[in-house]
Amino acid sequence: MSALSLPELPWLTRPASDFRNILKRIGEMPRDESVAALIQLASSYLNPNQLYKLASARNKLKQSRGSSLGLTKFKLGIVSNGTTDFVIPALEATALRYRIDLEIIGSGFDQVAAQAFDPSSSINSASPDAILILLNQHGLPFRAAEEQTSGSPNDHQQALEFIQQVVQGFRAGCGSPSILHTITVPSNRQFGSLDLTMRGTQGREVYQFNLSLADFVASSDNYLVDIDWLSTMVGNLAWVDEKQWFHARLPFSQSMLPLYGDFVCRTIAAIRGKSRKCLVVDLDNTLWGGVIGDDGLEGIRMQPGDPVGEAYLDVQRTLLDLKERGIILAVCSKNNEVTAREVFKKHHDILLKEEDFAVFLANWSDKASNIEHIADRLDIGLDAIAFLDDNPVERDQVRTALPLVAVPELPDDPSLFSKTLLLSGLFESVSFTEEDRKKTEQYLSNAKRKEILKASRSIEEYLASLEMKISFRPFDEAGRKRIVQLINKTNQFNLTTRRYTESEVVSMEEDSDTFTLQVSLTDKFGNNGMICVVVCQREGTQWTIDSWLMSCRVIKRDVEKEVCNYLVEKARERGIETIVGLYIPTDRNKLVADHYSALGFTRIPADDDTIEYWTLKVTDYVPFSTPMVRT
Amino acid sequence: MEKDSVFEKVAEIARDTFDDECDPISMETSRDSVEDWNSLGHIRLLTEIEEEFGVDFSIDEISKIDSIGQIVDLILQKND
Repeated sequence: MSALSLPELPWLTRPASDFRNILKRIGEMPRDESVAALIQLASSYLNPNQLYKLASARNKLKQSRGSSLGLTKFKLGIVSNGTTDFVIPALEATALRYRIDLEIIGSGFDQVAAQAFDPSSSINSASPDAILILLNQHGLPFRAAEEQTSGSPNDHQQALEFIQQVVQGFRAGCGSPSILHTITVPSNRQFGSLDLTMRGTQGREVYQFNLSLADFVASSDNYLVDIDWLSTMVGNLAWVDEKQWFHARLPFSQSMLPLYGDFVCRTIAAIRGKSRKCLVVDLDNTLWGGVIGDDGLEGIRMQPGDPVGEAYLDVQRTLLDLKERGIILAVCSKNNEVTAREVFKKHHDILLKEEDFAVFLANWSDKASNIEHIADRLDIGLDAIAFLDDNPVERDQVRTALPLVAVPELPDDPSLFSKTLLLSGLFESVSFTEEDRKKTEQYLSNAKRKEILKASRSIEEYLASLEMKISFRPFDEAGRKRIVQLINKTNQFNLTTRRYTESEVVSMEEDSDTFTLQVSLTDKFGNNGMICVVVCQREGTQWTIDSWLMSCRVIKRDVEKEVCNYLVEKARERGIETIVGLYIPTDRNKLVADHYSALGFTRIPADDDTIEYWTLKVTDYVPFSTPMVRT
Repeated sequence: MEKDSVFEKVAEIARDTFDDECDPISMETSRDSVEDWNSLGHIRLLTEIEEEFGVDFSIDEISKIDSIGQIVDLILQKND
């Protein structure tokens, strides 16, 4: 018996019992309230019909309110060898769960090649942010057309080449990356198990196709949603519904729409940098069985050999794996701090150590306030936090008080905790860099820096004591992945919040009128890695600062002054007379409202209040003295 | 199963699927008379009904079903 029903997204709450009534009232609510209501409905599991209805309500709202929902926008083209009429509303509705306003450019049934190779096709002319290529095995030429009748063998190379041509067609037509799918391994076989040993059988070629496709994605800046993984988990016989394929060309069973929608939308969310960065965990009955305050060190369960204990060790191992890939861990538990910390110091079987957590809060305050405190200590937004707790009451309290925090549902059985957490996709990634791995270290040393700050008499002394070394380089291949990540993830210290894809970053590197800068910083606590990105566009003797963003880890360290010194030096060398800085205010970047005035820029009055222009005469600039050396 | 209670349940699912557009629903309500009962609406309606009654319509039946009455009769047949 399968204990988790994956197609019903077990990590989500069940839909409100008055789903239909709330939906009906949405049209009458004030805008902010109606968008919040849409998001709240979308945050529960919705069956295919409910997704369909939520999408209709969303689209009505968009029509009546001048089309904007005030959420992160993403424009997605879709091509398929099947019918996408169900997929489109399912994606539109599910995207709300990730606070994304998805605009979809659909295409007729089986228009894959026509859309890709015609530069003026509806998708190419719309310049989407990405194109979803939804193909099942029927949409790929595993056999060459002229050989199809002769029974000649299948060839995964041929299918791969077709996909590559389609991807390149869109790349040439609109410059956009594609989101690709692996293919469900077919359940029909000619000989049975023997098929896997024989070249040219469809079963074997689909496996090989999937691996080659993954390699292609790894070596290009496209994205993958691993449908074969999904269909293997739910069972290929359940994933494909032949009746629906023959009747209406549905590329997979209608009942899988909620699952498919969530996996595509979490990938889009990851592209937009919306994955969670930090996991806050409860202790009692979440990391170990029992309650330390009642059961004591001897009584709590995490012993190898004890089945219940092993289930909790599995949770701990999962947390260590997450930390290893750069997710920050923190504790939020209702406990006496000394008692709670003692478990980590004294228990023989515990796998996690106190040092694995960037923040450790064990007290009797409500968890929502504690989580806000953790966000504050780590300088991250609440929308970067996920919270794991076995107690439904605590989960509900946090969800209600802090709707931005992701709180996965957990089954009663601890042996399913790890799986549920991992399948939730809260930490979905579309790339992985060495920088990610070091994150916990960096946040830990940040906490240590805060201690020094207390001890130092003045901020100047503190900064001087950090022994900072800064280095500047133009964009290059080595830094590219991290540059793209910073551009797409940084919200607070970001003057314009302009997002660019990897291919756009590549074109900046190649454009002679674009000045690019990546900045790295080390100090006596360790290497902070790349912490700042600047892009300037040249027009005659003027530079316009298109993008200037910095990691929040290094705020208040005078880094921006040294970056400004460097920018002005480079501007002088290139004959630039004026530098114009842009500030586009958002809900998240108030932190940098005074950035340009603090650097000595003068504001140019303008009628438009959505963008501020600041100017600096290069000849008038007096360099700041800063507490760091260049390397 | 009573014909009336099956009809009531089917009618409720149809109202829910087509957003009350097809009120009032009778055994005679057919695909022509409901705007949203197009080929996609057909799939939405029938998958809901299959789930609710625990029945399975064959590909041939799906193609032939044209009215609420036919659905009710098929369900009664299958539950016999």
